[in-house]
Amino acid sequence: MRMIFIIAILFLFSSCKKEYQAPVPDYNNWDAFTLAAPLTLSTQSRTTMEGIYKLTNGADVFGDSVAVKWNYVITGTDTTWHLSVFSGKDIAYLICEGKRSGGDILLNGYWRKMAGVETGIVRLTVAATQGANLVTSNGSVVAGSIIIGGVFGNGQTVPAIPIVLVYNRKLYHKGPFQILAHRSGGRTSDLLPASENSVAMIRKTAEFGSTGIEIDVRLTSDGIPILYHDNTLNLRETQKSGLIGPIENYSYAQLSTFVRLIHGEKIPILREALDAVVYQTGLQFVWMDTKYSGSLQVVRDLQKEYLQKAVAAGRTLNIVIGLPTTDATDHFLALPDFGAAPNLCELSLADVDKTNAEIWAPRFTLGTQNDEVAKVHAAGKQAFVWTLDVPEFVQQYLRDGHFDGILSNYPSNIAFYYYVQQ
Amino acid sequence: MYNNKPLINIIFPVLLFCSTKLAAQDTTAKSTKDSTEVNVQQKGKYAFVLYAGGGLFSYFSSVGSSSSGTGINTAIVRYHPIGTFRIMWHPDHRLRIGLESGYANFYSYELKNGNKTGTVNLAAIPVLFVWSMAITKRLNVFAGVGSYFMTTRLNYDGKVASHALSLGFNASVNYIQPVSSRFGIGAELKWTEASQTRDYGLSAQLMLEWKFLEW
Repeated sequence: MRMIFIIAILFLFSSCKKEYQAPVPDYNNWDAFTLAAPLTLSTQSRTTMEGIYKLTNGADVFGDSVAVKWNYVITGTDTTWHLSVFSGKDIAYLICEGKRSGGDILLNGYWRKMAGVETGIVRLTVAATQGANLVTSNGSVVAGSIIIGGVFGNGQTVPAIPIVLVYNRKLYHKGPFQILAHRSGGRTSDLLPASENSVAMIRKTAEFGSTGIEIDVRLTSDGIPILYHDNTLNLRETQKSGLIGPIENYSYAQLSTFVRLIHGEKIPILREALDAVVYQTGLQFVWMDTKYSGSLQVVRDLQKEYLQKAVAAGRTLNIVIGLPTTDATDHFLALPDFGAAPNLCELSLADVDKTNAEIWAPRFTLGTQNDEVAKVHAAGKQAFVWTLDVPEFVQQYLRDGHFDGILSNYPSNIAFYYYVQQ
Repeated sequence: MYNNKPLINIIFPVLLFCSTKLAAQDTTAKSTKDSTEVNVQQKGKYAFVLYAGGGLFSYFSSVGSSSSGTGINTAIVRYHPIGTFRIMWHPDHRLRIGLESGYANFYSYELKNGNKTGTVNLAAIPVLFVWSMAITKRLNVFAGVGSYFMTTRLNYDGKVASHALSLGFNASVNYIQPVSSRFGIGAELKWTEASQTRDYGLSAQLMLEWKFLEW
């Protein structure tokens, strides 16, 4: 009897949970890439290279076909381009930087499977005679005219497993369609390299295929709008700091001094986030989800300011105020210029009319709702659906639905299934 | 992909199972003692026992990170006072149950930001359901599950007191030397863990025992 009790206590001490990790492997040790020259490609050349590729090697890991697309991020006066490869197998993606070595294009980066923690280094080459010349000369491409070959590895090991991608056809594109990343790029719990709702994540999200982001807006005790999802400071989103309880209890000065997000970033203010979107990314859409109860004036003011800044910067960007509840809707309707404020309403079609919403955004569990979506389209508005993560549902909604955008924790998954359509 | 199952989901059923088994075995032992003596079971003494103690708590978990640049991880003060208040029901068999509360000051730190100084203190009041058993005549083990009512006190750019609840548990062992029929004095080692907030540490306390009601 005593032993059972003692064993129970020992069991209590030995019980533990496994901490999963998926760190981005250090891929900066490919000598040929280090010595190579910067890759400068025209917009036309990049478009030429983008497409659906068939895998003749590596299909067992990344599937039979992938979608290949360029994206960029701006740091100061430098623009860094990444080539992202979206796979339908285990929600895998590859993210590479490009350089030029002689006539060849070298692509160096890493891969990750979101359906687990698998990751590794990838080194690819487009030989001059296997498509690089065609890409740089903006030639016309046909199936088989671009071959991206190379190797990938697991974890931090030197890559040695062959992978070959052969150009098959252009990416699908039918009118405007938004691939929206939840919490600015994905959840922290999905072990991404930046924290959710951070500026670092906003800068990365296009690498995952996003064309827009959803961010969660709350107010500090001194009325400053910040990005934070949960209603309390917790270890899911922040490092341990000793500060607990509702985030609205703290001023911005207190949060910025004591609190760091999981990957060490400060909790960003909304202004910093919008600044990053406008001046550092090519994102086209921002959905500011209202996560607090109170006046929306400060959010509206920032929306107006950054819509003007986007126009001045020559950016095609829409910034909408998300209205998920009747409380948020009531506060929105209390704005003096609510009729002119772009907004996205998650409630009924009657509420969409009431708030003059540009976008209706129902949850996916309500189905494709094609009749309602048709009514929204007939009124000159758009319809987005949230939050679609399961590949089977993504395929179903793309095949059977008529939505103009999908919000997901796995934008690379949406990107793959959207672009491979025919 | 991320296993966040609270430890408490495992502990609680195990302890419940143990307590059931122990109680059952105790009854079995009595009933087989003399099968001919039907309805002659003798009831032992029951008692309510109060434990009160205080001592030093050492915080074991980490706070902040070196990469965050806040300096919290190096500024943390890990040793603080702790107090325990526990009331136990001692029936006439080994397993005892009761309630525990008290006060645990987990950690504190002071941070300088330019010419501003800030202080943070995190403390908890536990409310735990406790099982205990005497290993020997004077050596007792305790295990408790329940909640920790956490409070942050921040003094930087204004004062904030903010609260949150964290599920958790504790486990302790004490040695009590009787000084009279009702009083005892001893020492207790206790592991305290607020699981949801991942705050945990070990304490050493001086413990007083008072059998204030017996029948």
